[in-house]
Amino acid sequence: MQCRDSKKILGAYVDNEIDVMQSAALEEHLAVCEDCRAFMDDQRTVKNLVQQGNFRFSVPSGFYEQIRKSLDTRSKEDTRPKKKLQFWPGAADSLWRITAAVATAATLVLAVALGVLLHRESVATHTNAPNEAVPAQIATAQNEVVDNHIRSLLADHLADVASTDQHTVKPWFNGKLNFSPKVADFSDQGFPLIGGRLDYMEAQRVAALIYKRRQHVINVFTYPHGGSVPLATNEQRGFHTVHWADSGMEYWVISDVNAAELRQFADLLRQ
Amino acid sequence: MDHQEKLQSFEKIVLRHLESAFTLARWYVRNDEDAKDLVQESLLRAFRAFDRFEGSDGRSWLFTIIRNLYFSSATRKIPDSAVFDEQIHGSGESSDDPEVLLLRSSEMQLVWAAIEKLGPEFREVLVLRELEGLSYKEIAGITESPLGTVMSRLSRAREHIRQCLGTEVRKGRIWHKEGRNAVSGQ
Repeated sequence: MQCRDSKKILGAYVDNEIDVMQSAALEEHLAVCEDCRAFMDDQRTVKNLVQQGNFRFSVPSGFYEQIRKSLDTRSKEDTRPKKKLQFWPGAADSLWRITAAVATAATLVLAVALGVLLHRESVATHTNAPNEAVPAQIATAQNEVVDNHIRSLLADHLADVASTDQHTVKPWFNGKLNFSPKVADFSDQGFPLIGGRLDYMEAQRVAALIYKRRQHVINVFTYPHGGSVPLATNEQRGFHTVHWADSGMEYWVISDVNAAELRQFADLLRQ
Repeated sequence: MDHQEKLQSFEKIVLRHLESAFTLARWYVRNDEDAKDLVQESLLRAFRAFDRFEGSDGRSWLFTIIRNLYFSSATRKIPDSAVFDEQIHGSGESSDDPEVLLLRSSEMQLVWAAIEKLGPEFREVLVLRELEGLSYKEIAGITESPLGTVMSRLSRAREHIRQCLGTEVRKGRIWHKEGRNAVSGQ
């Protein structure tokens, strides 16, 4: 074994994460290589230091109660943080600019988050009085949809698979998701398919399909959903969204195109 | 499952890992307030998705959500494992909270500062391995990386810390000091 290969696995050796065969070959090399022995000692020393240092953080006082309160959807107040999450200052200048732009509307966010149900117009008649649990949860998802949409426009990463051919886009998701999204092209109706990409929301991987309406980008996020949710439209941070669930799938459609055209597009998807 | 049942089950499987979640988040963002925001938002997302959670390892699941939220908020592009970028890795701020500093020996302060100087993708493997005791395989699952990447990041993170500690480690002073004192009866 060469030192180069030895050093690659010495850390894992210290961690007991390599198999017997590799260990045997490595030990043979260690017996004759002082340099690699020193490297191993360093790995072990640092490992022990990090383990022995008191490097855990205790939960700040009152935080658990704060979490419990925010999870308790019977609580009438949405206690989620209202500011846009940005944990890496300086890494994404353009995101900062967007953040600054939406900051002026920050006071509206609370109102929007709480009032989603009031603002949404439902086509399906649902007579149940809206559960107070719904706004916070829908608002959480809606925030993710808007964040994902903005991000897809900022980074040069609109599509992982750029194709107007549904028979190219659909198979691309095979093996990347544990479901197969419905993919259709609506070029004839003025909503051409642009491509697809993987995205992440609701704590899972989701399929994102990209369409265009003239120069406007439309993102469609879709993932499995057990029940059915009546169609609802909304507007947030200047984007229109349409949300519904049927036939085992949940859909979020978002764009800066006007509400009527987006609704028309949603109806095409629902057919 | 009604709301109360869901909440109870969520507490048992996910929320009981709050301290671990906070520790990971705190090492990502390096201040309490952002860490609280990151954990709270992650728990809300986890709670909303909880009906679909089929696994049994609530801690790893929560870690995955925290990680995804952290990196997607930070930037869409996760730094390449092959690149050890000075710009990224030189961005650490040392903890200057006097209370925190008092609690740690001077040697441990050096280690602490060295970890803070690491890039987030190196810090996370250290936290997951040395603080949470996860296997390479579990870490690979959470970070969506190949095993080889976990292996090399962990090794390079330790190598980086050793370099930050300078010659102290090589001489064995840090590690053997207490032992020697014990032997010599001091």
